[in-house]
Amino acid sequence: MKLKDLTDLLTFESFRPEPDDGAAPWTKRFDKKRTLMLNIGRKRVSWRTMDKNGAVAEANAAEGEFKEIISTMGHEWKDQTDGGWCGVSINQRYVISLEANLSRRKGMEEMLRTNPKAALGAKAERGKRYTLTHNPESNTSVLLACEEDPIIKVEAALREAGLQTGRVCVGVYAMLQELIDQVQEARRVHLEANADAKTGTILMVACCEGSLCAMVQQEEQWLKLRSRTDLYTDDMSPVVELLVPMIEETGPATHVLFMNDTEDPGFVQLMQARMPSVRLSDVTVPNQLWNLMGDL
Amino acid sequence: MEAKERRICHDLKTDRIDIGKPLPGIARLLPVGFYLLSLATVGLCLLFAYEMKKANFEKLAAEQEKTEQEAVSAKLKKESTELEAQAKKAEEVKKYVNSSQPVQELLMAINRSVRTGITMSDLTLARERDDASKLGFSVKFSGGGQQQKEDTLAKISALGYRPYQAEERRGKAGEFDYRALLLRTEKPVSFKAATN
Repeated sequence: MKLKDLTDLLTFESFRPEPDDGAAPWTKRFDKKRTLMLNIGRKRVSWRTMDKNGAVAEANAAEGEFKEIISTMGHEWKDQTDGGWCGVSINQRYVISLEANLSRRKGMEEMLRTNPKAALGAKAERGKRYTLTHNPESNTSVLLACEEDPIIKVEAALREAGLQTGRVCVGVYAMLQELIDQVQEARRVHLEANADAKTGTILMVACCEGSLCAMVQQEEQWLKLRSRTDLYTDDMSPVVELLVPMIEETGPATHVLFMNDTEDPGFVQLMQARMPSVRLSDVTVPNQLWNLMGDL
Repeated sequence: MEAKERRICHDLKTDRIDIGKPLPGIARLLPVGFYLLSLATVGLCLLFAYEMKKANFEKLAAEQEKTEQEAVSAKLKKESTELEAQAKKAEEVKKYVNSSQPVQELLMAINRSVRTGITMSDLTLARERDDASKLGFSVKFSGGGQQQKEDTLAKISALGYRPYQAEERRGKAGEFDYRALLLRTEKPVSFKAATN
């Protein structure tokens, strides 16, 4: 037994998850500690600190590549945290796809992390990391495949700057998961009120730092998914252009659920100008991405 | 469908292989017990320190009281010693008085034998160390002469004493010294018989 084990026991640290235990919520891992959240785009990095009470501070952003920005901001970021722990959202070199008939046996998610080949079979590729979300009402699943290389590079850059990696996620995938959860919860409430009720067609749209993921759900079925990286910058017209054919295909009754990483009325205005009759709900809340990354 | 727990955000970072699970909640009893024991230890130490201080005060008070009592005891002992010494002296006085009782009668008799106008300037009665029945007797009269001597010896003889080895000396101014060894007899003797 090491001295640290004893001190951890006496400070009750042993009863909390370890800071890099990805299976534990961020708030439990970093209770009463300041952490940093980074959202890394191709030419832009935004960040926010989360204080000891889990409150998100004001947004900061810098234009440029992550490698350049961390070389100048690293010390400041480290000073803003307790222990240098960071949560990172990366927004490139990933693929989100809709899969059918993936195994749902127990321990599948763990196997996906440790041995993707065994979990996914021929679909697994070397040098990629996977995570998935199953549709509880059908045989479809959303699969995220992210290249290892950018993850390892980000981890190394953080390590060089004296920072530690608490979580690496794909922001747009986290937002899609949130949308899926919201839709499932709404369906549950709707069906509890009336078992024969129809929830119709829903187009879930998640946008994060230039990346887009849109998925169509008709009743309980996930039908179609489109994912793009580096699709837009400040102007969200490319998003509208990509969504319009999907809405036209699914029908005018499609309910568009939109979630952005930050509150921005631009998309709603563009969409309403382009398709005034479409039923559009912007479910973005303040600090949307940061809240998801911090498990708030 | 049932309400789901809030989803934890996915994590793609490179996993550390030795990530341990948090200890079970029941194990919190260990540090809690440790802290309680520590608190109890500190509390007991404080209690012991307080009691020790209190005991020290009591010890000091007891020692002070002991010193005072010893002083009182010594004083009483001293007084007792003094009283014993006084008692011893008193005993000696008593013994002296008791032992001089027979002589007192003799002294009174000698004193009463002194006629008016005659002064007895000196009278000594000394008991022999080895023989208590013998008394050294010496008397000095100014005036009175033979008659006074006879009166005095008559009184002495009346009390059962007989002069022996008598010496007498007369001064020019009517002074008269008489010295003899008085022997105690069983019966009073007449002066005549005594002088013979």
